[in-house]
Amino acid sequence: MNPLQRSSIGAVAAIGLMLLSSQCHLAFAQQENSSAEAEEFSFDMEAFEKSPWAFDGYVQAQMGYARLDRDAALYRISFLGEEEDTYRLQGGGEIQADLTYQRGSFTAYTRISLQQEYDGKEWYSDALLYEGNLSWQAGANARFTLGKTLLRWGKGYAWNPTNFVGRDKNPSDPDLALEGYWVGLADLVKSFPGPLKTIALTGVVLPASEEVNSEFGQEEHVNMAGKLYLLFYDTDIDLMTLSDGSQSDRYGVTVSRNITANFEVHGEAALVTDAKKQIVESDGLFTMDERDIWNYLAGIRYLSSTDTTWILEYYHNGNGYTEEEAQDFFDFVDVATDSQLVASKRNISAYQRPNFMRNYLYLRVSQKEPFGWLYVTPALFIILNADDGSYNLIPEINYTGVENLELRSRFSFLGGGDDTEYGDKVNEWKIEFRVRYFF
Amino acid sequence: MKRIVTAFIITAFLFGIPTLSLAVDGEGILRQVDRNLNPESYEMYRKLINIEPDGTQKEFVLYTIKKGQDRMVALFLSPASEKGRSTLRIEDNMWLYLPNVGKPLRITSLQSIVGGVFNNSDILRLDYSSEYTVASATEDGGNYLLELKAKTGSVAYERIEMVVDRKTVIPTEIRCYASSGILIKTLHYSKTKDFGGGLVRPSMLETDSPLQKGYRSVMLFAKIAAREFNDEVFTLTFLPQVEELR
Repeated sequence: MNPLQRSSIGAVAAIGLMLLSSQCHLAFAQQENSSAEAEEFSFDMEAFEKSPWAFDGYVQAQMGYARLDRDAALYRISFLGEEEDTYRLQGGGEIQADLTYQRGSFTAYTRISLQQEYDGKEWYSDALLYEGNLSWQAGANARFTLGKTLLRWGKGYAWNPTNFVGRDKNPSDPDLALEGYWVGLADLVKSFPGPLKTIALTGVVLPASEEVNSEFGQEEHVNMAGKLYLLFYDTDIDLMTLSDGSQSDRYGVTVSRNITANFEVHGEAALVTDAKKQIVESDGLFTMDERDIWNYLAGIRYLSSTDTTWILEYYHNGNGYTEEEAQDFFDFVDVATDSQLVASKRNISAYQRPNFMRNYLYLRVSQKEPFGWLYVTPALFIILNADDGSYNLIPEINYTGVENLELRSRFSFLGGGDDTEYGDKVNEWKIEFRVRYFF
Repeated sequence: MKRIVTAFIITAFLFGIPTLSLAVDGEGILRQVDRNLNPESYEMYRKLINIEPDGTQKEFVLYTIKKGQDRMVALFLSPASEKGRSTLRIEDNMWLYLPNVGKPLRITSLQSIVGGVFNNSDILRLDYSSEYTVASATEDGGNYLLELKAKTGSVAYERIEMVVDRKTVIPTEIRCYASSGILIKTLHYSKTKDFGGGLVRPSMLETDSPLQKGYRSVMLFAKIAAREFNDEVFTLTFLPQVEELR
């Protein structure tokens, strides 16, 4: 770690601690105050007068303890030639801050994330610009945005096969903030009386080069994407497309609708033309498969009368690997030499992505304040690989009893046996704690 | 005979007219209740306070806008953990936008985005007359008693009993029932205040529920003012930008 990194880590930690301690003090003071004035309700409007500036975000600390699966394929790939302990302690902190300035119909917005992480051996620090853009609200019907912007298309909770111009979210933590892309964006919207209540058109220009958006796909392309949104007969409908460029042509459709006051259904489907897939044979030979594929998702969200929320989703990853293809990959990793694995690193990267196979199920059950436990929300969710039967089972508990403070603890158990997706991940299990303070 | 007929007509005139005048126009009263509570299109600041059985409180401050009969948006201004969240309602459709997630999600009227006794339909309440019809209306001393029935099955409460002060035509107590007949919650309006622009209405709404014994929630209204908005403000496209309207 160089002195600059060290000093930036120190600065991040110091700012974080200062914010945390001052805000915690304020929160507790406010709570005591409000309890003392139990029945004297007041509302001071002046505290909420609009300011052109807004600054908010959170400070977070997290810690994880994991048991590594030393026989797993991904363990071997991740720690090639390295000696690892069976257990690994990880930790870190993050400050995520949003700064907004509004003047007239123009708004400047930025979101930054300062992170420092300990992976069990070393500390790493990073400063990321998640978003940074300038918007112009050109009348009631049009808005134009230029700069780094996060776009999240799709209706699914755990997966979004139609998220053509955004980054993939982590299905085991789908609400995490993500980094946007540098785009030019135009939003046009019109409302109507009658069954078609809203029609909105979004146009996106996304350049990809070595300097900007290099992670999006092939460089030296100006990518064009569009989305048409309709609120039609109380149903959200999206039609979207991404033109051939850094990625191949793709077309998508999403729907979402409340069937009853407590039951919602949603779905997504995407046609990806000329989707490429690098396949490794068990003997180490590589082939490239290219064809049109469909990715789709269907899901429900249900709220019971006892405040239990159920989310169930099925996801088909058309470009995912079949069970036989995955078996070939595991066989290759078993017999390959270290130098062969190093040489094939790029070719086997797709096998290391989350959900690299075909069919998945996601089920999340959360119960608000069970047994009268105030501000406590336990949840249990499972991501099941429907092809090989492996799974990631995560019980989780959230506590929000102190104003602006959020505590989360979760245990992640990965099961499925040898030569399965979750059975061959780096971790066998992991326990995590996270403290997040909002300011 | 002529005298008897004349006497009958006079009697009918003397007693019948007042009787007719006592027939209560429930729908008219309900529309008046709506207008006395807020203009048809408005902006509003309010604080929600959830009081737990042990006395601890959680507070939320919301900026709310409404247009016409069926469009409404609420934006959280406080606490910091909720700041920037916004909810949109168009008729019975509701969405929640979370700044961190970056996209709107459909939510239901029975959920509560703030916890406590107020659910989403209380927080994003449209005019009563747009969601309910008057099944019966009677007078009871200084009050009107209105019994309301939901127009559709997607409304949070199947039946409502509303006690309306005859003098001010403002509700004082509202009892909300499920389709099973169970009392879900009772709302109490109090502390009438002049909000300006001719709007004199309660500044506090309290609620309790037999289903959540010991819990109470309070809504304090600080500013309600008539304001016109474009329809396009009430769209998913604009939802992340509601703060710009303040």
